[in-house]
Amino acid sequence: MAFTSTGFILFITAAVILFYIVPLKKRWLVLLAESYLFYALASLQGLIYLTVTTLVTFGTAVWMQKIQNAGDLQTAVVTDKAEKKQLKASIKKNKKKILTAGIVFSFGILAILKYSNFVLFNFTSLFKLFSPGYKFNPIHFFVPMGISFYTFSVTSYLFDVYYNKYKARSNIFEYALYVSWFPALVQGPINRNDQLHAELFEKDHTFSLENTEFAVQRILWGFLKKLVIADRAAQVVSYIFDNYDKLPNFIILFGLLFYSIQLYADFAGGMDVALGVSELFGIHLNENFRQPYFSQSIAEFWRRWHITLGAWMKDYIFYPFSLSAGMLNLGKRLGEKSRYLGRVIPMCLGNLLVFLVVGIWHGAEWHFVLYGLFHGGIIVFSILMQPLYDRGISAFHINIKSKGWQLFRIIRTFYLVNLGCLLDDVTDLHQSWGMTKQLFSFTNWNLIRNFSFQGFGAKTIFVVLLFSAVWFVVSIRKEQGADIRKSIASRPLVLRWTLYMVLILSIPFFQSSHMAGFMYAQF
Amino acid sequence: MEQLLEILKDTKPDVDFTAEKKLIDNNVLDSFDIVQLVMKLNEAFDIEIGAENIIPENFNSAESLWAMIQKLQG
Repeated sequence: MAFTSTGFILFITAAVILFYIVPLKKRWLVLLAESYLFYALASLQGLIYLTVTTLVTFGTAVWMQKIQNAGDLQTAVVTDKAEKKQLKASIKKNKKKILTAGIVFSFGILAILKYSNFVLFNFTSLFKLFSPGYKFNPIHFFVPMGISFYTFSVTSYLFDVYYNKYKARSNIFEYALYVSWFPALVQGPINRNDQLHAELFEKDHTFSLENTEFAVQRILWGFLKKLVIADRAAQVVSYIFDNYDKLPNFIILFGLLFYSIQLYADFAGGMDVALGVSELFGIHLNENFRQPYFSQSIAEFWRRWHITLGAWMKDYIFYPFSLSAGMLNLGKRLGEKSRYLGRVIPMCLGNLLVFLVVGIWHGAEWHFVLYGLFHGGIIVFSILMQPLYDRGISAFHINIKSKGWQLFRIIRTFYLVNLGCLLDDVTDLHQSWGMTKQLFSFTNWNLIRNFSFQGFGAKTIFVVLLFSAVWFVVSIRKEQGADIRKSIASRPLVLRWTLYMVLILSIPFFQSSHMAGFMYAQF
Repeated sequence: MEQLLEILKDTKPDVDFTAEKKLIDNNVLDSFDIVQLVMKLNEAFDIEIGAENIIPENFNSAESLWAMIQKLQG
């Protein structure tokens, strides 16, 4: 059920009414039933997968907790420091075996359903060298909705219980609600159990008009981003990307700019709807964006873009890898020759690993792998060049706090992010290479002379730029610390409702005639 | 504690670690700073800070870092 469909709006309306008419203590059960119904309406196969995943990961965590509890009882009576240390190491080792089984199960299913065709295709490509007539026939797997998002959510829970950050949940239905909470099921955010559990079970969920008004504001804002900005920008992008070899280079650059707008509006719009719907029930989910295009470096961009994925990568890949015994030893060995390299090399390797995974997460294609490594490579390059950069700043007397320098860094980062799109929204590496060549080669005068806006129309460009400008102003205000929703809610009733009506009417009036599904819903 | 403050200053010279109490929540320390800091702390205090210890409660201030070091020293 797409977030922008009439069916979804009807589902939400009924779900909210039912939620608030049921006694307070039983409301979470309504949410669980609604979440499972939402998933069942999408597909029954997916529902089976969701249930099995929930049962297995719940059991895995309980098992780890039992080992921890038994170990804690033993440790409590031991006074010898060395013995205590040995006992703790043994508990960790036993828990690690269970964790590994749980992780292999969760990621194993994800890998089989999403990546086996990619592996088989590459394997058979090698086979083709010896048998040219061989044709690869992909296996058609059923891929459950939002599988990447909830696989990451459940594995974060397993890691946290393993790390003993909090205890395993003892109520399977409460845990099932964490896994299946429907607004976050389609395209995230990637939740953490302790945070969402607190929102679901420790907060007062009595009806609040102010809360509902804020939630509806956010949903409408999300619809506007998706239906007006993203879907209209998509028309321009698809025309330019499909005909890149017939277009002048500046139009390709324009296409990349529009793709950046489309991608951000699509994903952030989806997040606004997800977070807004969740807020209708008084449940606040983690933000996934913080004005990412105002970032001054690629590293900062990934702290502002898809925040919950970045946080997952940092906590469960970057830190464990960079601080592993192997990396610490490598750091020490390198440190004997160069203190600087000893400190930065483990970080650089950790970064490359994270961005390799980020690339693969985006899809089972080589261009996605290179997309991840493009971003990771820039970050590694900037870490290694830091001493030279600092010397340059000092030699040229650059005031790094000046507005001009910060603006230069923002534009530079945005340009790099746009270049990265050449590895993202393409069908294969051939198209990516073709577009890159076209972008950086001298444009034939005939291409410029014959160019027309026939493919997408000036109205579409105008609408995208107009609403992007509104969004840009809102983003600047948010960057300055303004709470836009509170600010609107505090205005006089007439002004407030005029604004809401403009927003509501803008959507059907300006929305694209080519409605597309959310880009991240297929992840 | 003085040794810890010196290490913190060496990692991020422009931060007042005696006053700042939300090093993680306010994004004062990023993941690169944390890895560098952990490497230095492991060496200086002969401890093993694992990924499980990297939580805001342990890294938000010099005091919380000091408490974690003492706990890990057992």
